[in-house]
Amino acid sequence: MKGRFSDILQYVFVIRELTSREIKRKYARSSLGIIWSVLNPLLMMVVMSLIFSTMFKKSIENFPIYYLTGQTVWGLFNGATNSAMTALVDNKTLLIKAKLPKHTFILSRVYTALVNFGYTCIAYILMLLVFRIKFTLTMLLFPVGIFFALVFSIGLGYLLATEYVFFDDIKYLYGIFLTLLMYMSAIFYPVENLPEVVQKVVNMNPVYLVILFSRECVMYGHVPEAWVWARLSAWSVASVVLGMIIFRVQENKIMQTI
Amino acid sequence: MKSAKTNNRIGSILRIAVMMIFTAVCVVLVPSLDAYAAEAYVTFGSESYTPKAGKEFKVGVYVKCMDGVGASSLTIGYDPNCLEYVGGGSGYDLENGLVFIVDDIGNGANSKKFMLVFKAKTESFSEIHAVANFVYTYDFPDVIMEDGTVVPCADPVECTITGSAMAPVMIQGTAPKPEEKPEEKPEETVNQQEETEDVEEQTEEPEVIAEVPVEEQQIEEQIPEEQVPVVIDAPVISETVEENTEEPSVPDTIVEANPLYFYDGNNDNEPEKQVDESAILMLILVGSAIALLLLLWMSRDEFKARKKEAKLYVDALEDPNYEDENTDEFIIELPDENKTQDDGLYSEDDIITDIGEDTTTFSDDDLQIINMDERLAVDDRERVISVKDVTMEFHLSTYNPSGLKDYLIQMVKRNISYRRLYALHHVSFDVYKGEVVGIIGTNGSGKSTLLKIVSGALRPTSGSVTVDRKKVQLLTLGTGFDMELTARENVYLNGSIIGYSRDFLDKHYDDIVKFAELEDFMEEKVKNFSSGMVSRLGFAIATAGDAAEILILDEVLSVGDEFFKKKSLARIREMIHGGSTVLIVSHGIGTILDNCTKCVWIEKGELRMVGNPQEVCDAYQHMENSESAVGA
Repeated sequence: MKGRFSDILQYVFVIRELTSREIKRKYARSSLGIIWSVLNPLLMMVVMSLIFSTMFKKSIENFPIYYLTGQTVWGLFNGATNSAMTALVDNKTLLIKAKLPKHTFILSRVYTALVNFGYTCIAYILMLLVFRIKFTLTMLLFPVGIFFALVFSIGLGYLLATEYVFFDDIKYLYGIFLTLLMYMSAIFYPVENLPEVVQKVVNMNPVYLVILFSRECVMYGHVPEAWVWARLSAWSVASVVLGMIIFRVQENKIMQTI
Repeated sequence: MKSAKTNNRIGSILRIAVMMIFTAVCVVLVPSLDAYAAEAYVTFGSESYTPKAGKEFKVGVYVKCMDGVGASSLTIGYDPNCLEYVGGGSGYDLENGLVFIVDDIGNGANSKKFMLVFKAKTESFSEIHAVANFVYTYDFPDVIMEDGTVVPCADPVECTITGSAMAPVMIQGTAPKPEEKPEEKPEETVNQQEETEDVEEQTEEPEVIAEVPVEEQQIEEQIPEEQVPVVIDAPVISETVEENTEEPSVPDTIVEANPLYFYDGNNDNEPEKQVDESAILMLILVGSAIALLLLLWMSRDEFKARKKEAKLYVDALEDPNYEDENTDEFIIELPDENKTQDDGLYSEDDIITDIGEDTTTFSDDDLQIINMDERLAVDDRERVISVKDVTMEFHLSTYNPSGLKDYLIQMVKRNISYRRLYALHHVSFDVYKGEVVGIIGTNGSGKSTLLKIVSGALRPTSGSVTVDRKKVQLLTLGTGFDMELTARENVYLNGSIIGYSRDFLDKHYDDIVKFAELEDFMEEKVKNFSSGMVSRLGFAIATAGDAAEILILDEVLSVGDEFFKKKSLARIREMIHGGSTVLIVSHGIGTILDNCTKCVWIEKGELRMVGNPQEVCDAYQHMENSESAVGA
């Protein structure tokens, strides 16, 4: 029992070290470093608000926060899945030589995205204060939404990482898919403006669901509706189960192919 | 170098500080701007009016609000002695000279215009002014369902009204006596007003009527009570404002009393075309998604097919008759290994010692005998590693498609075939406790693959390895070194990957640095290190721990300069004498002869010999010599 516990501790330590490597590496040559994680979403928010806030003035109240909520969630999902995809291939030598569970690398990439998200949250909280969004108890649900996003990303990450070992092309395909998903996530426009058919599709989009979830509990002070919870849980569970199964089945082949 | 570094740091700290201050200032200053404090203005169309006595004239009343004009309630004051109200408002108080304009929806635009009509009485100088005004920002419009029920949305925000509107009115000439009665006027002005209003207001549909009853409740809340009684005078208006329960039956009355503009965010007017377009788009999307899935699925099938094929192949191989015929066909090579092992860390010529020509060749029988001898000698000892009939098989595609498209084309043409590479082929041996086993073989003969299988990184295609994986420690150099990180960061990263805990690394950090002789370079990025320095650091980290029960050394022993080589050999010996069972992979015959008690020779995936290091090494070198002779 004790051995298992120390195993887990070691596992966590490895993930943290890998994560700190990723982050240090990412900002190795920039002088502001990790501050960019805070600054980037803020600047994006400004740009997007300048362009779109007048366009959607009638239907979106408080556009900057509306956008920032979507953008932070999207950033988390985008960062997590995109980097998890290449996790196995990038750590080829480690994978073969080190005696580590293989999914350490995928998890550490997702964790990196989460840490990044943490920094983005600084910007987010700052903006919530600036725009005087009143604190409500429902805001405490925000981490729950993020948890859903994380679980979903992990599942998808497993899937992508496995496939990426066999097909390089997945990278490009997924790039296009991400673009589609982004525009389907209503990050900077109101869903109500879409035709009904598309609205239905958007309402199925897990990323949009998380964004909706966050907006409801942070901006509007509502507890998200039951169907949002239901769909989010379904997506997360399905993605993780599917990802794990595919990863397990292919595990040995991954080692051979890499 | 160091000062430049610190300069950079100071600079970045300064910049960060500036950023912090900037954001702090933003936080302090911005709340005063107050995102919610919407301001509204009420202004008149002209700065002054100069109507002729006895003539009617129009006064435009504008409500402006940057957040979009919502419901509003305006009271315009005029001098009843000089002016006479004709129409345009929703109610009036003739005695006190007040006109009321009540609009309970607004249009959401930045300004909204109301048109009042007055009649000038006599030559005089007076003014019209806004008395009491309420303007609400335009929010989400209430949603009106098709059956007429209204779902109200979020509450509007009240605007503070700044700037009091006033316009002087100068009436010229004398007026004929005003005769009209107030009751008639609104109806007369209905036409006028409709003419002056924009066309869009005439497009009002019955929907609008349906919403009025509910909306009026809002109006009542919004209008201060003192103002309501005034309105009652006008029969038409009282109907809309007061009698909530009564369905207004005549659409005209409402339109005239209060021109309504309903903003519908959904733009229901143009639904059909959009649905069609989106349906087509969806079709394309779904179609391409299915196509992609199919493609992926097909290629998956290809993988599966290969796997099955491979299995058959292995089965066939295990049949002895089959094996005899086909053994020669296997192409055995491991290009990856060549790369990793030849990384310039060492060159073979340095280490290989000269040997005489008196080496003997070994037949299979000899191998068998040696094995038996070994076993008899050590039978009472504990067996720690048992490799049984291990086969490791790799697929290499003979054709490398450049992409999915190419891949598919080739697949359709059935051009893709795979080579089966046997990195290991039915290899078996045992290692007993306390033994130091050297593994030799030419490049790409499967040594490293064997180690990976023993350490658990790879699972063999067939056969089995029995070993307590928890006791195994694989020492490799610089696994997971990141060139962009500093040496200190790399110690922790590499250490964690090797399996050291944080406490352990904290405790042994100084030892590691001392052993690697890199005291002055720990904050330097590893990319600036020489390869010797990198391997020294790698060795120091790898051997920092207490020796595990089973140590696997993969090319660890040929690192750095002569001094460091001696030092590292001593360290390894120390570990070996600590009672560990050791597996060493090395090209250096000398290393193996010096340290090992047993030697395993693997050549092209096949186990050639197991036994006394001296004998095995002799045989190995003999083969090498004869091969080079053939080559020459």
